[in-house]
Amino acid sequence: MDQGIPRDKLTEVIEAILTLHLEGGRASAIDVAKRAGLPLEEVEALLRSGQEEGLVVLDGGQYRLTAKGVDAVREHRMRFVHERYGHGRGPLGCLRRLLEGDVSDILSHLKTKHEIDGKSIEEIGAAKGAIEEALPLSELREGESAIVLYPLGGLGLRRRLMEMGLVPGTEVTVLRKAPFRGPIEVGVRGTSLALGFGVASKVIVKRSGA
Amino acid sequence: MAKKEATIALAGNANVGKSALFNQLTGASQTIGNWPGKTVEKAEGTLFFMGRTLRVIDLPGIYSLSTFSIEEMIAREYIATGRPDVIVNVVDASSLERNLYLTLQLLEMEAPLIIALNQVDYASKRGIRVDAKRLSELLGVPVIPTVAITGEGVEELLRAIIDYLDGKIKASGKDFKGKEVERILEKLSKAIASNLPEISRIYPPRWLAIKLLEGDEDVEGKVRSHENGHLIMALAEAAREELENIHGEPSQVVMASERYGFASRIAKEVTQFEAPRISIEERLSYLTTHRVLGYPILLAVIASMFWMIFAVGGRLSGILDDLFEEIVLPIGKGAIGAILPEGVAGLIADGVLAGIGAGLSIALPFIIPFYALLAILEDSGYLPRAAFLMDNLMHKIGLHGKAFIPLLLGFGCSVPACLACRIMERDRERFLAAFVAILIPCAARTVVIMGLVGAYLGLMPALALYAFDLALVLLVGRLAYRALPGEPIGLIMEMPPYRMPSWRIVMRKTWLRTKSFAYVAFPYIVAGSLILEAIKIAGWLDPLADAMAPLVVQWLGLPKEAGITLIFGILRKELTLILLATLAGTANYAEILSPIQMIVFSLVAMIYFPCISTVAALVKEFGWRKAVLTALFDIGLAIALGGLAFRLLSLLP
Repeated sequence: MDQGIPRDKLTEVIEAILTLHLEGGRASAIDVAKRAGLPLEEVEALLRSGQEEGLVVLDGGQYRLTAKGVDAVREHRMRFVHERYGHGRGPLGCLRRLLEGDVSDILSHLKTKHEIDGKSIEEIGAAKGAIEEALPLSELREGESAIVLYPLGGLGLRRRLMEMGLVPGTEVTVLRKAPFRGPIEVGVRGTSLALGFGVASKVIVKRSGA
Repeated sequence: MAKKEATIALAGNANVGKSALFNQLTGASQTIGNWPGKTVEKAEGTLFFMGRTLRVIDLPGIYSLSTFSIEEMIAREYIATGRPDVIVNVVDASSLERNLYLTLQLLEMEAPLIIALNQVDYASKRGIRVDAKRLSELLGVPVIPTVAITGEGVEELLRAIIDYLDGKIKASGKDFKGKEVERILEKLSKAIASNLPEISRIYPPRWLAIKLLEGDEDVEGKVRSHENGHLIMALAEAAREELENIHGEPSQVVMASERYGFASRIAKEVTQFEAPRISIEERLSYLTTHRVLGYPILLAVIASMFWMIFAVGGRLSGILDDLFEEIVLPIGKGAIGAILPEGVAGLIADGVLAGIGAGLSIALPFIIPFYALLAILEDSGYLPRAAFLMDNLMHKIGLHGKAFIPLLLGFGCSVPACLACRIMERDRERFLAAFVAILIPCAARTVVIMGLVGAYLGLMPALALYAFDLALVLLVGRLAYRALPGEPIGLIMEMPPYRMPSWRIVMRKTWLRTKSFAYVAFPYIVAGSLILEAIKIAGWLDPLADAMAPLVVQWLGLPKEAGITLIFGILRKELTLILLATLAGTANYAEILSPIQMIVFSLVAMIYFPCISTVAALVKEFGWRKAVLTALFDIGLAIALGGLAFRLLSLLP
């Protein structure tokens, strides 16, 4: 592997290509540089090394990800989730399944066997492929609403959070945030709950449309 | 004809008016409040209705029947093994969905349930209407709308209880889980029923199965301790895996989601919302948790609270002191002298009477207004807001925001502060909170600081002492947090809406707490003064003072008499100051102590020993070992700091 090229910058470049592609836009070297926020020369060097590694191909002046490139992006995102939200087996595994895309079986199961209403399923479904949207509750601003994807943390904490109503699919609204990483007051299921910053950062949510 | 006597247990979330209902049913002897999880002790009462004797038991306020906290354990064990005839599940109509989570768990335990749909008045004020009849149909148990504060619906509730006892109505509700879950549960519970008949007689097999699927440590332990336990555990493990494969989620997530899914559907079906509008209460909540304004408001609330306590307490204390000195003491002494021989009479009069006098005139005048104001703060719903604002700071000493409540209580008296540490979820946090709460200068210590440093050296040095003490609380708390094994836990606390406190309840609460304080403190005060009086009569005071001289005079730089007063201070801290005047024969402390000695004396008195009542409370809450260790630590800390302060202050020009 080329030691001279930093991995994370290369990943940023291929992330940018994927995003451009998904948005249906052009992905020339200039577009990629703009999107990644890096100097053009550097991006060109990175793209060259990406081609050598078989992650990117140049196709009529535009860059496109190979299957290997898509895998690299997915792995990067997964690592991001992993590093950010800890290493617990259960919920992380679920989050991963959710993010990896075999979510459709879970959804149909939820609908038929589990009797979860359609709206919640839609919302869980919207989480599919939207890795960037998963964020800790502690990062929401006052007044923002979100859907709980997963409470993380140890068994006891997770159970407690769910007992207080923060089960996956629940809508929460941030009512108050104390300064300096202080506690967060959220509205959930018609009641108001104060969560310490550490606790709130273990509740993974997705901003809801409103 | 059904039996004459029956046991009724009240179960429900915190802040749903459960204690208020208990008071309505039994007529007395319970406190109600707004901060979560306060009623830890099992409160009992009896009532007579339609020829029946009903024993009512108030279970702690809980959100679930897992084993997260001691309260939940207590409630769960009682429901399973205490076998109450009826369980009244008190449910807050204004947050039905969250409340139903517990209801469903009670149904899982196959408890004989009647639901009191409480605070329907408050709910309708918030634009929430709940169809009690439909709720009853859906859950299969009787639902009675009530307003516990006013007593509305209580008679209907009692009639429903009697009807249930007579077998006229049925309360055979059942919770529902998804088909897959039910299938797995049925398989597992059948295996439990046939393999573990002993446990199955106490706990419903289906409930045991649910708990095993949830990985409940307590139930797992119970199952393992039986002969066929390993078999069931293996089955449960397989069932858990099956469930996780089907749902793609850990089994405890599945179970919680099942319950909330069910609760949510029921709540949606029976609740009607009218257009919500922002009420005064919500505006107040917004202001008092504001990131900037919240803190000055908190400071103002605490400051005005203490100003009122000392304004009322000081005046009351003076009146009571005069009354006691002028009237009660002479009459009492005369009466005792007439009955008992001279030596014993002196002992009783100076020991017992003086002790009671000190308690009555010094402690109670400050404690009563303190309790009254505290009850108002509690019932209004302000305390959780204060805990919210202080959460950040409390984390510095390994605690979370709720620990601020015992610390605040500590300014009044360390005894209720120790007892209030029960709101912390785990033993580690309970002890840690108590450990620092007793270092907070209580009313008695404030008397010493204000009476000595405040009166003779001015307000600034007195406030500096306070500031020093608060810094010490943070420092010691941080050290203790590092020293105690275990991880800190985060804050998860309900924020109840603001409410107007009811004067009747505030007064009753104040009275009950004052009474229980007197019961805890007075026996020790009397016993202690008796012993000290005996030492005095035996002529051991001077030898004792001589023995302590190296420490008191050499190290702390205080006069010899101060040693004796510090011993007396074990009874009540303010006695250190009062006795100093008695021993020196003058109340002008400037003649006895230099300014440096005043500061050192106040500092030592502030830290050196939790008074005897506090030790009693510590023993009660945490056992002898921790109580003695705490006391020894405080003595060591006070001596070390006192000596250092003496030397450092002497260096000043």
